[in-house]
Amino acid sequence: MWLRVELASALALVATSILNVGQSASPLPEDCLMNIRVDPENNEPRALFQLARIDGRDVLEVGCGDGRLTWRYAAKAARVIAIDPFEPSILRAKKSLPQELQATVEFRHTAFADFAASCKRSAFDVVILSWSLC
Amino acid sequence: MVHALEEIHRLLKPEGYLVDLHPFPEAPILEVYHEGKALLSDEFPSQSAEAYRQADWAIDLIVQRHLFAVEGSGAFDFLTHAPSASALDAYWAIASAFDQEPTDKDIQARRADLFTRVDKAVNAAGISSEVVLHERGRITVLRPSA
Repeated sequence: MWLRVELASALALVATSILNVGQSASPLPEDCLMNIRVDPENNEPRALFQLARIDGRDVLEVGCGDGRLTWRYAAKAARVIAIDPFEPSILRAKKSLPQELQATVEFRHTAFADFAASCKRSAFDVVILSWSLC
Repeated sequence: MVHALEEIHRLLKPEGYLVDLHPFPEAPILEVYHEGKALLSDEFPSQSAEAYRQADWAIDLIVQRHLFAVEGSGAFDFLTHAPSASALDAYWAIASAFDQEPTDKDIQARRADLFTRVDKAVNAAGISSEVVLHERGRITVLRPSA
């Protein structure tokens, strides 16, 4: 399934929404919403930086969710377009976009097929499939 | 899936590259830690293995078709830390709302059994314990072929 939201990314989405949007975003009891930490070891961005050069590149991230991974590499990139077909995720990502990344990162609520159809050839240096090829 | 990868080939500059991140098909592990020691460790029931195998297959296929060439690959541990299985279960209820496939009833039952055992372990160990969902991620960097 293309752009499937899987467990960890979904948990990350929820956790980040709690941290960045506020408790009122969820009907869950407060004690259920606290202290979730997703990849605090930074293993995923470390693996990314070991194998891929992001510095100064134009990046397309497909399946960005709420921007869990985006935050951790975007400061290195020249420009990031991060897309996801799940609107609540994109809304959370936009709402929690750090000020210092606003000139670099653009979140779009769109399916990949629609985005690609409107996009010119050879537009990006890097495409990241963020747990979305399944 | 393969068509999407063909589209990505079109979007990439000739000297650009594709980075694919997705979990290995093996089931995640749910663990309870107390003072650095694992009190419980068991497979987290998941129905995603086939989807991950399909993703692996798609990557293999675009390489076989010479659309992309593998430039590098690796693996990493992806950990989600929670204070309790109940908290994780509550999050899972929200997470499931995003999923396009209903969770299999057998998997639901096995998760409930696991969460019960995990919460017993957490309650016995006290507040300094922690629940960790341990997934293994795969990263592949691919260069578009001419």
